[in-house]
Amino acid sequence: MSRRALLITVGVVAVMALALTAAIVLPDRARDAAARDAARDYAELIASGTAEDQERLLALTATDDPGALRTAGELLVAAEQRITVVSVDDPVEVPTSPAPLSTSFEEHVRVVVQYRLDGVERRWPIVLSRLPDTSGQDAADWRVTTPLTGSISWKPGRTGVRDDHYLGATRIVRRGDAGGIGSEENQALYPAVYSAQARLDPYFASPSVDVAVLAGPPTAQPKLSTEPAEDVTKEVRRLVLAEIARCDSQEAYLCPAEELGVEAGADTYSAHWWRGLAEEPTVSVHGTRVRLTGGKARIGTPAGVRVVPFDGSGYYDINVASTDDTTLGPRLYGLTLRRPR
Amino acid sequence: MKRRRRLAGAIAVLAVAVPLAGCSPATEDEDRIDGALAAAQVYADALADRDVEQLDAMTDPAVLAANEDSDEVDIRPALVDTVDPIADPWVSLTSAFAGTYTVQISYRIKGLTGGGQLQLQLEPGQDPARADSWQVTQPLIEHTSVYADEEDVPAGRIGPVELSFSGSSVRVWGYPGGYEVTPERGVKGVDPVWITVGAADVAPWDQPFPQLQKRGD
Repeated sequence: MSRRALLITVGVVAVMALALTAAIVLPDRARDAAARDAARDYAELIASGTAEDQERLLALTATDDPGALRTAGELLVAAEQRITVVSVDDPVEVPTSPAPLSTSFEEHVRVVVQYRLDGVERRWPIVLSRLPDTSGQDAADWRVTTPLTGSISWKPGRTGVRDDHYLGATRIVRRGDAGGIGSEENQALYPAVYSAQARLDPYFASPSVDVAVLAGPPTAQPKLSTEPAEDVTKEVRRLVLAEIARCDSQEAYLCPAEELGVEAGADTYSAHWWRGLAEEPTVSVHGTRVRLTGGKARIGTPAGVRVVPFDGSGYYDINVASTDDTTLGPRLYGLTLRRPR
Repeated sequence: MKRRRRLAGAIAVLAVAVPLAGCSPATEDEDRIDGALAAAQVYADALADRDVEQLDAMTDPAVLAANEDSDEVDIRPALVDTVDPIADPWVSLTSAFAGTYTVQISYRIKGLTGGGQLQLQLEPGQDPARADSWQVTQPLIEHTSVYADEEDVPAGRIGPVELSFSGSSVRVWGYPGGYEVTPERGVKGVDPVWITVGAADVAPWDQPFPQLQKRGD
């Protein structure tokens, strides 16, 4: 073989080797770039969190529960603070993904998203899966099958009562603890800072508390201490006056002023010893305790009707035991009237 | 010299062509994907319009027959009486494989959300641009339970569909929506209840679990 022929052969072999290597490497690189672009688009949509982007954000995802992610998108729009995307790593091939059962994918890659939320940088992987019969070299060939989401592990609330929990203005209906219909899982949430509140409308509400939800395991529920709302004071006052009114009824045995009457010299076993209120008390609630101050009662005694000043105390709770909704709400117990100390 | 240039050119073409051979464009026919998405939108719109005839016509009869063979009560005829049909459906492609197109659909039902995966196949030799060329092989059919206090309410109904409560509940299947369940005629003191089919829900703290029962029980 001449020197020229040898050079040509070596050149052809070298180019073929280069071409074959490129044939393998370049598509892989193009696939990696496309998957990373898809992951970045996805993360940036979570970061922007606009209402207009929500349909597109959901379309990038394949999930068995699109309704949950749709609600997650609505909650994201109303979030107090959203993430900033710091970086998106190179994809790494993984064998499987918890993709929806009814869908088919040919390849799965894990991409770590680094984001900043509430001043702290976090990293969490998402998995993207390639649509069958596509090259994977276009971002549109990929779907997110393990989304960038977390959740809040909700707690029931007051003893015997399951508080309604809100994020922004939305009542959360996907709660694993609530035995609801259609979901045993807690609501999926995109990483963001949300305004959380516990409420028993219209009687109790907690202050709104910001909670930073991260992608990954459930975030602990922030402390949401419900306080009586104005309506509970009104309702307790109505219950207090109704219970005092029993003193002059067939239910006199339930009268909370019997001790007061005895002290004033009344025969509380006789009829009509209770002559009504000369002045209604001021009713206030503190936690679950009820306080009465500044009341005055007319009490019939052998010496005549006396006006007796009184205070009082008792407790209330929220009755949710009955399925009759007319009895739901504050329930009074342990009410006693006594002379001011 | 000329020969050498030709050789160099051939090598250059080869160097470019071989790697590109692995960069084939998506092989799935764009027209079919567009057609599948359009057909899914027709299906979702039929749900929103309570058009049970359209939904059933698009669905593989064998799939419906399989559900009909179950012990659950078929409430599809009640779709026309849905109090709150689905609204604002979103559709997007989640898979296209071996002639089966999977489309993700999400929707609202009176402030709640739900959804699932719809699967469609193109009838052989048909025009993908026509909705009636597609057959739904996995419909948006939901299964749930309807509850009642059987002692006071032995039977009820959803629209035209009668429900018999042999226990405290009866299993039903049908299309997503918000339905009103009423007691059978003659049962007094029982209010209708609203139930959702195909959307997650939990009652607010002061509202009872949706169950047909006598007031005050």
